[in-house]
Amino acid sequence: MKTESHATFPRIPSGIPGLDTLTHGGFLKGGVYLIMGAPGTGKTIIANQLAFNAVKQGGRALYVTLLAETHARMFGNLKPLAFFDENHISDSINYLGAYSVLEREGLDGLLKMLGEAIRKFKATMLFIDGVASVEDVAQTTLSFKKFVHQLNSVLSISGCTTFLLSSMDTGASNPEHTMVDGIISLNHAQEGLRDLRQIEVRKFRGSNHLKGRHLMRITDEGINVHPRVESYLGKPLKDYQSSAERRPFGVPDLDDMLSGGLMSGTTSSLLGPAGSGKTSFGAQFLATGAAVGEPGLYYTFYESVNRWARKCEAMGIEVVPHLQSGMIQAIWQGETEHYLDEVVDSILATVKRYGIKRVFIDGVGGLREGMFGAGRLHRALTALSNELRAHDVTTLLTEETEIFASEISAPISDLSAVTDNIFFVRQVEVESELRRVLSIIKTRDFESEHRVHEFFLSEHGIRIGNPFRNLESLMQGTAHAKPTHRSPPNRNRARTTLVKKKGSARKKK
Amino acid sequence: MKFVLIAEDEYDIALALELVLTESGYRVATVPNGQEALYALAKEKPDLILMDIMMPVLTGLETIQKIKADPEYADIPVVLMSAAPAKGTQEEYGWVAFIRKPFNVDDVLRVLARQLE
Repeated sequence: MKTESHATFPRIPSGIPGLDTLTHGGFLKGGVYLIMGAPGTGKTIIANQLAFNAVKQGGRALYVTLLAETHARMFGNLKPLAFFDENHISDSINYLGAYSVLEREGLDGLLKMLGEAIRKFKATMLFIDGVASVEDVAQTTLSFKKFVHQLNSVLSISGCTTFLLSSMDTGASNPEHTMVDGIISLNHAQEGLRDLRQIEVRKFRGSNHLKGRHLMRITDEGINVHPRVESYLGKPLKDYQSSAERRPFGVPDLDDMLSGGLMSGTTSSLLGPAGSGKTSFGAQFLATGAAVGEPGLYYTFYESVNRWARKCEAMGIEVVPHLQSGMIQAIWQGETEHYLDEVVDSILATVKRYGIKRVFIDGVGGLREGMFGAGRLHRALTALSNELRAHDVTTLLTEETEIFASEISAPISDLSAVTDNIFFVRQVEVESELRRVLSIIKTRDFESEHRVHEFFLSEHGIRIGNPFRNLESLMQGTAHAKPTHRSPPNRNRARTTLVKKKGSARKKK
Repeated sequence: MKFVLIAEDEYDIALALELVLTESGYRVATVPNGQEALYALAKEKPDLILMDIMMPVLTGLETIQKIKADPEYADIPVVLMSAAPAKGTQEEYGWVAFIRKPFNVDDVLRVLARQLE
């Protein structure tokens, strides 16, 4: 990702996944940063994770507590986290209590203690946990301002990168806000019954940073930040040149309809009700690619990989050998409280790691469920498809439509803007028999077949049948015979009948 | 009444130990770091030193080394405390007991009673 820096101070990578994306590369060496948030928002974990990661990079950390939890209790809470290693404590990480000094000797005594401790323990990173206590002890705002200013001076000559932890948000005019180089804010937000942890870089001198709030999780590994996809992937790579290759499905008549297959780097949507065959088309797409050395990724929210593989085998679609060889990677996002951003992170990480050329995401509904914040899905899908295009990946997305609806509801507004090609499949009743129909609603960049075709799924895979000649309204699900007296269709009349979801205006081209 | 010197930088722990030991019949003085523990020794020799390891100015291990190097104070029993595993050994530093935090106050009193019998 391109880093925009206004200055060339050396950076210290945080070691916290996603956090360096927010700061465009890590904290500036020697900077002073405020980490603020109400109790329980994760300040202590983030600080300790920074400390232990600094030690892994050869640094030495000093963690000073004021009126905060005891060190023993803190270690007890940190012990389950993977980054915590008590063997470093009392060696390259030292924990000191400073409230006694503050109480007996005031701000000057604290300042003296900090300066001496940084030198004694040769600290390259300092944490002061409980800065609010200092403000309470300070007699006046001026004396607190003076303390912060003097602390900055002490720290600047030590070269120590410093983090002040505070549970109070006293506003932008507070000395600790104005005199620090950066402010990181942690909070909880409610979304329905869900509690979401959020992180925001409110200020970051010396460098650009990703603005706004981003989600984070605390897992067994520690803190994991998930930057909003549309914020860090918001700028597509310029001058991207598609390889202009075709990526066939491996279904001959379908590939003919598409003039050879999907163009590389494009994103296609496959709409249709449950059971209409969407997943089968996606599986075939991946299997065909894998057979010619194009690694694929199957990302699903709805069923386990084993179950999917068994279904494909039953249909004669060869994915199992490719799963075993690694030519197809498969990820099942079974967790029901996932985040859109962590899903996208996972997809992109897999694409980069395995050189994936074909991605099948089943389906957009799963992405939507992990989305928080109105209007994000369109921007996130745009960002994701741009990034995948930049890696010359050809992407297929599925979206479930209603079984009995006569209108095709687009999952997002401006679907046409996000995807290059739109296919529609469904089952229709024809003379008391269910038959499968496929229609190519839209293609970008090339002409495609415009007729509605029947298709078949069997143990031999997918077979495209003839176009329907004597039936109409197939896509609406109410197939009926064409009236015999009607004049031939006007091929110049637009064929798109894509309708936005309920509540939106009907859109006809 | 036995005199115990507590060297502990964590305010809450120092306060809690001071209260409990005083209630248990000890005379107590508390200092926040190892350097001040040495100053306190010079004023009055305690019967026992209960000392944290991670402290500013002089750590617990640095302080016990200085104490054991001085013939006048080398016989004072030193009990070390820490939230981290012990660095070094009893033979190396000469502590009489090591208490791991978080501790149960009864364990502390038992150790003190045993050392001060």
